[in-house]
Order: sequence, then structure tokens, then C-alpha cells
Amino acid sequence: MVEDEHSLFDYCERYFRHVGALQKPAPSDVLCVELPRDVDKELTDRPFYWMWVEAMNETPANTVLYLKFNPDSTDAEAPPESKPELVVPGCYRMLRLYASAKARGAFAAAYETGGVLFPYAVFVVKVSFVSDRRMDFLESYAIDLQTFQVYGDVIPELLNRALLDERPQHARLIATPIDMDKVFSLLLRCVRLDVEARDHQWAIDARRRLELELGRLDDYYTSLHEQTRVIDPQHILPHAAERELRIAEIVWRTEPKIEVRPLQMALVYLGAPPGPNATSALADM
Amino acid sequence: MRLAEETSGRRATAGLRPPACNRQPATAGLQPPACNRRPATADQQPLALILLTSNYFGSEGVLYTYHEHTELRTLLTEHGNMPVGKWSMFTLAYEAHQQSVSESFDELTCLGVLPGLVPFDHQIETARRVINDLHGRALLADEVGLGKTIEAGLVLKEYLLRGLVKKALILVPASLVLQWTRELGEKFAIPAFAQRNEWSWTTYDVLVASIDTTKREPHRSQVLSQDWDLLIVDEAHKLKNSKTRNWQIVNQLRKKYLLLVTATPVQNDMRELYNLINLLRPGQLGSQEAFRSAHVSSKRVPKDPRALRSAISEVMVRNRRLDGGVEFTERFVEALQVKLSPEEQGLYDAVTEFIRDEYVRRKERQRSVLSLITLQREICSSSYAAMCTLETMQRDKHLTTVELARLRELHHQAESVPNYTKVNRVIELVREIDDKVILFTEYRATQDFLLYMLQQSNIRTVIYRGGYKRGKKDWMKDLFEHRAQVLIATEAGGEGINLQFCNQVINFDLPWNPMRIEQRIGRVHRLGQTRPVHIRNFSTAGTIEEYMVTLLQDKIRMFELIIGELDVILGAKAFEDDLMRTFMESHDDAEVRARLSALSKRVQMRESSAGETCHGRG
Repeated sequence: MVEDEHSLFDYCERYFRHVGALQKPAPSDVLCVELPRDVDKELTDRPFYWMWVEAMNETPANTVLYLKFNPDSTDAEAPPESKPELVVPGCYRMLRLYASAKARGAFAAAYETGGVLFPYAVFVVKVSFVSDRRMDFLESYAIDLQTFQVYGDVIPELLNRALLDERPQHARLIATPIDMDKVFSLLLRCVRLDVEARDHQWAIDARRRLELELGRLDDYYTSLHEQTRVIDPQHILPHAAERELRIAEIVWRTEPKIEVRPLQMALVYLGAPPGPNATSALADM
Repeated sequence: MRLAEETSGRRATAGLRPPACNRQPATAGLQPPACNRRPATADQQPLALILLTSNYFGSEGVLYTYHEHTELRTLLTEHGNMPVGKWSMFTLAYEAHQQSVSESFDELTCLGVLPGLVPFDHQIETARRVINDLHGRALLADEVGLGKTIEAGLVLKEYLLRGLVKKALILVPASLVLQWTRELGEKFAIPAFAQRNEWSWTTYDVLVASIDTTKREPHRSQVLSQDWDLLIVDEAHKLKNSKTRNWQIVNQLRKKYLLLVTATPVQNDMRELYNLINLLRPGQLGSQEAFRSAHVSSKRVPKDPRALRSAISEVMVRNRRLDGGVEFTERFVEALQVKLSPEEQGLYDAVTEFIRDEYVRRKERQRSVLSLITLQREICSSSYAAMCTLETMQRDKHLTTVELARLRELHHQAESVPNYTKVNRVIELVREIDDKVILFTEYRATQDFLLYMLQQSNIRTVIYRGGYKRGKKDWMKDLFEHRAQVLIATEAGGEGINLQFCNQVINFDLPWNPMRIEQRIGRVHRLGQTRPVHIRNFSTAGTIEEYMVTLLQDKIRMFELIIGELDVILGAKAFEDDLMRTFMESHDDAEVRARLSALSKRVQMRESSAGETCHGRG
């Protein structure tokens, strides 16, 4: 398998394992899985079918997916109840799978193994610079819930630590009351500071473009107004409305905006801080 | 920059909106984007969105607005304020989010996620230019067959992935609704829906609709009441006239991005180009008066091609076949001359004589000559087609007794033609080809007649015409692909459909409009065609058709040239008018030949100067 195929295969395999899908025998480059009903609902868009199944109290057999990652993989071993399906980047199945993972993985609790463990709130945040184009940054932060120290770019570090889904038996967790509003507020302040420090030439360009476009519109409609006033006075009002609409469209499209969107949060108990680089401590805010 | 002292804690139940929303429109019909529009973000979670907005100020005023989305906080509250879930799924979600991040303003992120398509370089470059340089409002004016649909699809996909477009409307001729819907799904994995009823407008995010349906109530009100992140109009030459309802509804729609797609942005008059560009960027070419004085020398000739090219380059992209980069299969053109039977020739001569007499008389009396023009062209197509018009003309109340008698005589003569030489030759040819054939005619009467004759000869044939509803057109196309050998199409029916699985075109008659000829050929000679394309033009010896084929094929060499150029060079309607005048006002064959020769020279001379005007890459 080439790299793309391999990484898709690996992602799908992990996803199906974590959602409890039953993996069936299949060639090594194919995934054949039987889906639990809740997963099936997320991976195939057929709400009316499920409405009917539930209304009629039906118990249909679970859906079996036979996912190929290479067009040349064999279909011969596909179970009769499934239809072989080629999975490539951007295909419908992958889009549904990502959407399902995003919904299921919005929150988590995780633990390091053994010893004394301290609580951290870990966030994944998407920052977007938007005008008529868009650029995104995926940032991650960890907030020490005792000291309110904030650590940036923590996900790579945390992925290197073997975190567990269950609390280890011999670990001692440091208990701390958590004020979620305060934690979120601190997160947003930190993000804001980071965002401010970035280069905003894109916004300056967008703002300049906006002004130019508005100026051009102004010239055009002013000349149109003059002309209409003399030749065709009853068309002045429609032109004024059209002008308002065009202005609103330009502002809608071009005005520079920054969007900050926290996407995920985890409560993680760690034996040591997730990095040396504490960015700020705003406990006194 | 500093944080504004007053941070707005305004909560809205819907998403971003343009600040101009507070402005009140001066009159109904045209409204600024609605304040309660949904956010244009494809990747947001399906939650009630709470938005906090604060303004940041640069030294020169507001630089950007700052929006903090707090869906996650809301969701956490719903989960009892405690994050619960598995770390392993958390990491999978993180990887999924990484997939939907646009790491750069400039790069096309969609190229890595196109399951059913490998775009050509010029298509990628066009999409990039539309997004980065033209800021999402553009006229895509590639020549026929270069994949404008793909370019528009790439732009749509990129905007969807970047979360800049959520709600998109694609307006197309009715015959292309299913084709567009299917292509977006298969090539781009975009879940597009064909508009079916008035609920479709609010139900689906990516909607493909017929422009004719859209402009009628109750659809018109529905579509105007919404904000569209992206509007794509295919066959946008139908918006050339700002007084039409087509143009007006596109002008009234509230849209962020706009793509107009047409191979023929100018057909008859430079005002058409002005009207199209005014939809994209009002004022780009100044007021109409300013445009006329700065750019228009005569109806179709610009004052300074370079200046005009520069002005439109900010809104238009035009790729030409000649620019290279795309390998097209070969195109073989052949003229097939048919000699009429004595009865057919007699009918042709009688009808032509009648038309010449009537043309002069009607011109003198300032009466319409339209039916005469139609008749002249039909008699070249088939005597059956002419027969129908002769019958209709007899109902004209202004006819004198003599004229009526003459028309009856001609009609009777047409009825008594014993055989049809041209049709018989077509049947022979279709048998010789022994492969799928598209047979084009301009006239429905000829189409019906050909269908009948081919079926009588046991040749499986389907017809395709403008009046069919889109489901029927789709069905006919499928029948042709899988069951029939011949598709008899009119241009109106064939507009925009892709028939690359066929490589044989027969022009039973030729339209006098060069663009329509290219539209015909473009159905098969386009990207995706793997075999050489064979075009056969029928011409009947000793008729106007013979001159026509000679002029178009040999003199103007339009089948060798890329005819996409000729719309600019000729002006399609003007070309038709010139031809008609040539035929009607000439007294004999020698004069016809001399005038046609002058016409072709004029065309060749214009080629170089006008070619400069619109052929720059944008």
C-alpha cells in the first residue's frame, strides 16, 4: 500500500476498533467490519430508514462494510451482504468517518500511569483568519488546574506519552475543584494574546481591498445616480437598494475576521507538566 | 493594535453576519444579506452557536473583528460540566480536525481530496486564480471543451473545504441540472441536490436548479429570501441582456461569491460583456456611458483592445485550446456533397425564387422577412421541414390571392417530392460508420422526419430536443449511450451535454451562427474524448448550403481554427445577417460568390485585431 492508502487504512482500523465494530476476516489490505447501530447511523446518511426501523420495531441485521483502500484489492472475499467500497481521500465514507470521530472525540479524560498525577485541562482550538480567503491554525493548550500555568502546543508531547483511558489503580490523583467558566475564559485570553502576536498583513491587505472596492462602488453608483436623476428619476430607488446590497455583499465577503473555535477538551492527569514552555499565568485575572 | 475598551458581549443565535446588516434597504426586492443567516462554516458542529464579537483596532482604525465561538462550552454544560470520553477517540478527532485545516491562504487544499478526478493544470491554475486573485467573483470563459465545469467545481470544493461556503446555488439550463448534480457528486464528492420543489431551496445546502424555474414564482421569492455563499451560473451568456429576467434575478440574489460560466461572453455586442461584468463587479468598467466612450469603437470593435483586456482581466479567465497544455484528439472534417433529384432541385429553385421576390417586396413594404429567412434555411435542410413552414405561411391574413396561390403551389410541389436524396445518403453513411453517431439538425420537422426514416431503416435512433424535461433528456442520453446508434439533436437540446463516448458528428444542416456549430462539436470534441473526432457536413450542390459549407469550412477554416474565437471575430448574429443579405440581395451566383469572398476576407482581417481583445489569459 502507498502512504496515503496506508494512513487511511490505519485511521479507519483504529476508528472501528475504538467504536466497537466487529472486524471480520478479510485480505490484509481490506477492512471488513460489522457496524453497531449507533455507528451505522453516523456513517451512512439514511435518517428515514432508521425512523422506519425504530417505528416498526424492526431488528435488521447489522451493516457490514467491506472497505478497499486500493482499487486492485480483491472483491472475492466480500461477504454477500456487503458491497465493496473504495476508500480514497475525500470520499464520502471518509468524510462521514471524520465527522463521527469529531463528534465522539470532543471530550476525554486521560491518565498517565502510576504515581502522583496532577490535573490539566487540555484544549484543541482552531484559529481562522478569514476574509475572502481563509487560513487556519490548529493550536493546543494545557492549563494546569492548580497553578493556572498555561502550556502551548501540547498535543505532540501528549501523544508521546502513553495515556490511558481508565484511571490506573495505584495512581494518586490530586483533587482540585474546577471552575469551567474560569478555565475557558483563561484559554480564550491566552489564545487572544497568541493571535495578537501573529503577523496581520493579511488583514491589512483585506481591509485595503475592502476600501478600494467600496470606493469603486461609490463612484459607480454616484455616476449612475446622477444619470438616473436626469433621465429616469423613478429608477433612483431601485439603484439605491442595489447599491446597499452590493455594499453589504462586499463587506460580507472581504471584511477581515478572526474566528476562534475551541474544538476539543480533555481532562488529563499527568505526572509532569506537558512541556517546559509555560506561556502565561493569568490566575489573577 | 489594542483590544477595544468595550468588548461586545452580544449573543446571537446564528452566525457571522456582515456589519452592513443594520442598513435598511431603500426599497423591497433587493435586500442586504439577512441578519439571521447561518454561518458559512462547513466544519462546525451541529450546535446552537453562541458568538462573542469584539473589535480590534489598528492605528488606522478597525483592522479585524474577533469572534470567539463557544459551542464547546455549551456542549460541555450539556455533559454536566465534566469532559468524559476516551483519549484514543480524542486523538482520532484531533487527526480529523487536522484534515480540515487550511494551512495557507494560497494553496488549494481540495486537490488532495478529489476522489474521482485528476484536474488538468490549466483548471487548477484557473481555480487558484479565481480564489486568490479574483476574490471569488469571476467570469470563467474558457473555450468550449476545456472543462469550465471542472474549474467551477474546483472553486466550489475549495470554498466548501475552507468553510467559506456552506450554501451554494448552481443555476443552469434545465437540461443540465442532473448532469451538474451527478458530476459534483462523482467527481468532487459534493453532496449536491437537484431542485425539485419550493422546499428544496431551504432544505439543501448545495442546490442545482434551472434558471427558468428559479425566476418563476413561488421559487423566485424563496430564492431571493436567502443568502447564498456562492452562486454559479452556467451558460451565462443567457445573462447578456440586463433587461431580461435572467439578468435581473442574478443581480437581485444576495451572494458572496459569484461565478459566471460561458464560452461566449460576447456574441453580438460589447454591451453584453459589460452586462456580465457588471454582475460580478459593478463599476469595474465604469458607467455604461464611460465604458462606451473609453472602450467601444463600434458595436463589436474595442477602441483599445489592450486597455479593455486589462480592465476585464480582473474578473475574467479565458483559457484557449491554442494555449496548449491540453492534448485534444484530432478533428477530421469532411464535406459531403449531395446532388438533388430533379424534383427536389425543382422545388428548391421554385422556393428560392419565391423567397427572393418576396424578400424585396417585403423589404419595400417594411414587413417582416423572418418567415422567409426560415424558409430559405429549411429548404436547404429538407423539403419536409420547408413543407411545414409553407403550410404556416398560407395562414397569413395579409397575403394577396396571387401570393396565396403561389404558396399553395409550392406546398403541393413539396408534397409530391418522391424521394429524399440527402436523407438516403445519411442512412447509407450511418450504416457505413457502424458506430454511435450524433446527427444535428436545426429543425424539429427535419428531426422528426429523420427519426421516422432511420427507424424505417431499422437503425436504433433517439431524439433530443430543447423542449424535453430534464428527466427525459437524461433518459434519452442514457438510451443513446447504451441502446441506440443515432442521436438526432437540435442545438437547443444539446447545449452543455457531454457525449464523449461518441466521436462521430454529422451536420445534416449547418446553422448560420458559427458559435452554434462549435457548440455542436463541443459535445464530443472535449476533454475526456479519447478517439479522433469525425465531423461530416452535408451540403447540397447548387444551393445556399453549398456556399455555406465552402465559406465556413474552406474560407474561414472554422473547423480547423478553434471556433471559440469566432464569437469575438464575427459576432454571431451579425454574421447571420450578413449571410442572409448576401443571398437575398445578390442577383446571380457570381455576385453571391463575390460577396461571400469579401465577407470571408473581412473575417480574416478581423481575426488578428479582435483576437487580441478577449484572448488573454484573463
